[in-house]
Amino acid sequence: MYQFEYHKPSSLADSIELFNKLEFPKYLAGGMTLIPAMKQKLSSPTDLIDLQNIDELKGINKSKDNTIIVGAFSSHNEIANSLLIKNNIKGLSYLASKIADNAVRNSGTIGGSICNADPAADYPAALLSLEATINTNNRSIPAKDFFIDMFETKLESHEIVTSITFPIKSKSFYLKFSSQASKYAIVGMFACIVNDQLSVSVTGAANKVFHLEEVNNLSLNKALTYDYDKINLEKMNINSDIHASSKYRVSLIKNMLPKLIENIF
Amino acid sequence: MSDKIILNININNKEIKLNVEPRTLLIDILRNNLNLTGTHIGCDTSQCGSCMVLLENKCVKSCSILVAQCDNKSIKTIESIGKENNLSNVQKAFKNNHGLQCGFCTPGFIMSAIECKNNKLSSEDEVREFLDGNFCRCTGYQNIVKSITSFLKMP
Ligand SMILES: Cc1cc2nc3c(=O)[nH]c(=O)nc-3n(C[C@H](O)[C@H](O)[C@H](O)COP(=O)(O)OP(=O)(O)OC[C@H]3O[C@@H](n4cnc5c(N)ncnc54)[C@H](O)[C@@H]3O)c2cc1C
Ligand code: FES
Ligand code: FES
Repeated sequence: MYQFEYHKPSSLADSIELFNKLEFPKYLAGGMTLIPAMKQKLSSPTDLIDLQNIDELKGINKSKDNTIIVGAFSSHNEIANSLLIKNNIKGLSYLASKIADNAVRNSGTIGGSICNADPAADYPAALLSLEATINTNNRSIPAKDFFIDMFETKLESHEIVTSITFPIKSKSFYLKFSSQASKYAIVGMFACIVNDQLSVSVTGAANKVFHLEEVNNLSLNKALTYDYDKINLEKMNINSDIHASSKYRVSLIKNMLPKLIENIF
Repeated sequence: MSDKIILNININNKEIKLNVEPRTLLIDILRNNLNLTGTHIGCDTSQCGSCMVLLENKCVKSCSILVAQCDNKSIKTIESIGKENNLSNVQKAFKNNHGLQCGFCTPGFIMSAIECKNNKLSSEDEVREFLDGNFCRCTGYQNIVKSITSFLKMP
């Protein structure tokens, strides 16, 4: 690998100060996207700022206002195994358990995943469907405004995601049709119930995660008997790539919906 | 050239002081500097699991982690798991069940087997899902799964 400098600050303030001083720095979390990208010279920062010693980014806690706050440095396996998440947002822990493989889940973090904003990443579907909020060192961003495009988010370059706030939802589920090689989503769908109405988001299918508007206001009973075949996805610019044609992805979305919804209960 | 950094890492139960360039990957230190060549490089792109080692008792792919990220932590490689004339239970299970052919992937599978046991997995289905990040080009996996499920039943 080419040369760079390595820093391991122990506070949020120090990390940002460092970032602003350096030429072309990047934050390092689990490294499961960044290190392979650097090895292939797809990314070439002058400096890495390792976030592993920053306590403000750690822990999974329940707050008084009935939300679960997940520190940005929580690994996929910590989220998959957290009893707090299992008991309050079952679909989220299940989603985390289906990311990549065990070794990647031990290292990779939720903060790194959402900041990277891979269009085939899993978490964005949960964040959008659950109406989560992304907290940074200086503001809070609703999930619907956070993801802008492929690998593009609302974040300023120096900004650090500190945690994600998830409203508790007793009913939720995630269903993914994944690439057999990487486990990334070809189509991934997260569903939960908000005020007795369905909320479904889709990842992997387009340049960024999207809400499935047509089914999102249905009551539970209506959802179970809905004719999913009539859903119109033309406006959504569904992707075609080496993994699947857009026609195939549309068919996946329509055919996975009944199973997704049956499993929410 | 980048400034070298000083790290203290416990590798196979020995405290080791390292003076490395920041870009050094864990696999490079293990194989090139410490002569721990039991850990193999297969794909070098975080896909195949043949470079797996235990970091704080959890599997990581050593081709995709900087040694700097392991400062003040503990690493275990295949060299600490058993000796040729004194195999550990997990190695005995692989030997008895014919769980390897060329053996290139085996050190990685052994690390996953150890984490399976630490996580108290027991069923064959759980083991198969757990092994998603380990590739083997020889065995067809059947005997690897047999080896690991039999290891999980050992005391
Ligand atoms: C073999 C393999 C299979 C995979 N399969 C899947 C899969 O099925 N589904 C899936 O969703 N993902 C998958 N991934 C990606 C994985 O989930 C990564 O862990 C994740 O995308 C990045 O998280 P990280 O903590 O490793 O971040 P890093 O690689 O360390 O960082 C990623 C980016 O985010 C920035 N960043 C990190 N943390 C912060 C922060 N707190 N604030 C601001 N910026 C930050 C970094 O600067 C960098 O640009 C896979 C990866 C591999 C190697
Ligand atoms: S060599 Fe590290 S995963 Fe293949
Ligand atoms: S035994 Fe040869 S690759 Fe697995």
